[in-house]
Amino acid sequence: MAAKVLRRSSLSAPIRGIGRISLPLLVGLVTLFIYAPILILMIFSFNDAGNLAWWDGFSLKWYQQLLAGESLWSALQVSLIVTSTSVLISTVLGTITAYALYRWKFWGKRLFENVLYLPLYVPEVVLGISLMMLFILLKIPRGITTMILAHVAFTIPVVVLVVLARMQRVDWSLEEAAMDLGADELMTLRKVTVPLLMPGILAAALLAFPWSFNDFVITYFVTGPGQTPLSVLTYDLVLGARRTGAMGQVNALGTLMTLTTLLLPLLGFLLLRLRRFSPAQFFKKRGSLS
Amino acid sequence: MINKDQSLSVELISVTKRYGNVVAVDSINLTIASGEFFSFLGPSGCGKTTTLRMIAGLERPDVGKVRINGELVNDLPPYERNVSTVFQRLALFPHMTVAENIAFGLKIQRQSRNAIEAKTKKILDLVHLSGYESRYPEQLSGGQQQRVALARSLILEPEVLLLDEPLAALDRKLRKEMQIELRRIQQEVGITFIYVTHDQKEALSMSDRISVMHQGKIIQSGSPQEIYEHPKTPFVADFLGASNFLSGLLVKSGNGFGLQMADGLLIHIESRGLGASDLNTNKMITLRPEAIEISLQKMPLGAKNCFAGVVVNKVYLGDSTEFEVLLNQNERLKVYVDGHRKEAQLSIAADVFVHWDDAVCNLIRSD
Repeated sequence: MAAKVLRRSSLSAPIRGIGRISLPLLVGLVTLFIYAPILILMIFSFNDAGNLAWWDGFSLKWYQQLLAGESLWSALQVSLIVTSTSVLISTVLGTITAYALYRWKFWGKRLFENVLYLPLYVPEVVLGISLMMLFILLKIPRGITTMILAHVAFTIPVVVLVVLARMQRVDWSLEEAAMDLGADELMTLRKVTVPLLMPGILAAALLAFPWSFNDFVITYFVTGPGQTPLSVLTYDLVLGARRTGAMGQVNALGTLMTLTTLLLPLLGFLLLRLRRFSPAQFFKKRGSLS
Repeated sequence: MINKDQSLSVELISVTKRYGNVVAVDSINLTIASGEFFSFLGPSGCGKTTTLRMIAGLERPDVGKVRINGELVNDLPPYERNVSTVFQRLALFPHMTVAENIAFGLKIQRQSRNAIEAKTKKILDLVHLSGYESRYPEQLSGGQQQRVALARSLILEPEVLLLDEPLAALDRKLRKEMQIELRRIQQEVGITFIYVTHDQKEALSMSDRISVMHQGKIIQSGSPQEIYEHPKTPFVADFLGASNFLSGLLVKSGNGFGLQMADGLLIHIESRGLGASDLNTNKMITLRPEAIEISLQKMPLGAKNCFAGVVVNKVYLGDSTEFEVLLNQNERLKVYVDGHRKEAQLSIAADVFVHWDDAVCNLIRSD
C-alpha cells in the first residue's frame, strides 16, 4: 500500500529507493521496541541460571517449580473466577447501558455518559484506593466479591464504548420491521436487536477479558488474604525474587500470562470468523446502495 | 376481520401530526376502500410517509382518528394491527435467510412448522423467488430483495399492505417491471395496497385512486385520469406532468365563455360549470403541452383556439420534441409533438400556428 503511494508520487528514484527500504525498517524497529522486553522475558524464562546477567543453558526448571507450587493454581482459579464473572456481568450491564444511551432520551443523559467513562481517565491507583476505602467503610470483607465489584466497575465503560460503536452501524428500521411483522418489544429484542448487536457484544467481552484478567493496580487494593489472583501473585514473586535474586519463576509466569491473554482473544476471533455470516459486510453494501 | 364485507378499509379523520413546530400532517380526512390500490403522491417532505407510518402504528397522530376496518387503532402498537409495511430501505433481517425472513411473522404467531413451510412455498411462488430459500439478503439483487420484503409482509395476509416508496432504489427498467409485478400481485391477493411515492408516473400507472399531498395537506384525491386531466390547483397540474398556465378575465364569447388575457388573446373555454356570476372575475386555466397541436398553416375546423406564434426553443426528447412557442410577443406555450410527426422537424424561429380544443382547457376553480 505504502509502496504504491510512493511510486505514484513525483519523488526521484533514489529517494523512492530510500522510502522503499526505510519504511519496512521503521515498522520493524517500532515492533521490536514494543515486543523486545516481552521477548527477553520469555527467553530468560528458559534460562537455567534464573537471573538476567548470564545465560546458563536451556532449562524448564522454573516452569516445573512454578507448576508444582500450590500458589499458581489457586491464583489461576481466583483470576478465572473474578474475570469470567465480572466480564459476564459488565457485558450484560454495559450492553443495556449502551442501548439506553443510544436509543432513549432521558434527563441528565450527557452527564451520565461522561461520568460513565470516568474510570478510563482516573489514575488506577486512585481508583484502587478509593474502592478499597469504600469497601472498608461499608464493612465488606475484601476478597473475591470485592474484586468482582471492582472489575465490573472498570470494565463497564469499555463494554459501553464498543457496543455503542456497533450500534452506530445497525439499521434500526429493522426493529420497526420486526414490530410491524407482529413481534412485541421483547420478541424484537430477542430475535432482531440482540442478534444484530452480537458481534459488538462479543468484541466487547473479548476486550474486557484481558482488561480484567491483567489488571494489577486496582486489584491489588481490593484483594483479600488468601485470595491472590495471578497479577498480584506475579508481584509477590517479584518481591521474593528481589531478596533471593532468582527471577526464573517470575519470567515463567509472565510468559504464561502473556500467552494466555494473547491466545484467548485469538480463539474468540477465530470463532467469530467461523460464523458463516458477517453483518458488518452486509451493512457496508447496503450503505453504498442508498 | 369483523367487517370484512364492508367496503371501507382505512379511515383517517382529521389526522394531524406535528414535530415540534412543524406540522407534518395537517388534519387529513380520507377513506380508502377495501381492495383498492391507493397512492399518496407528493414531493419529499409533504407528509405522505408520516401518514403511512400513522396507519402502520409507527407514529401516533397528535389529533384525529385512524380506523382500520372500523376499529379505532390510535393506541394499538404496530404488532397488534393487521397491517404490514414494505419499508423504503426494505429492512430485511441480514442475519436470516430468505426463508427465515419470510417466515418471521408466522414464527412469531407460533404457527406449526408444516403450515409455515406450506405458506412460505406458496408465497415464494407468488413473488417468483422459488429456489432462493437459503440465500441471505446480501446475496440477492435489488429486485429480489424487493420481492422478499413484499413476501415477508404478504404471507401474514394483512388487511392492508403499506408500501413506502419501495421501488425508489431500483433502476428505471427494473422499477417498471416491479410496477407491473406489484399490480399483478395486488390483483391476485386482492388486499388493500396503500402506496407512497413521489414518482407521478408510478402513481398514475398503478393506482386505482391517488391523493396528491403538499405541505401536510391532501390537495386532491381521485382516479389517475381525473387528477391528470382535471387538476384542481396549479400545484397538482405542475406536479403531475407539465402544464401551461394561462390566466385572464372571464368574458362572454359567442354562446360560450372565453378567457380575455392581458395581452389581448381570447381563449375559448368550455362553459361546463360556469355561470353568469363568474363573468368578469380572474380565472386560470391549465393546458397540457401534449394537448396542443402545432402546424404551418392556419387551419382546422373544430379547433376552437388557434393562434399564430413563433418557435423560440426546441428540446429533443426522443419519443417526442418539446417546443416553446411565443404568442403575441408575450405568452410562452410549451408544446409536445410526437417524434414521428413532420412538425417535429420544425426549427427555431419558424412561424407556426398552435391550436387546441376548448375541452382540453382545465379551469382552476379557485385559488
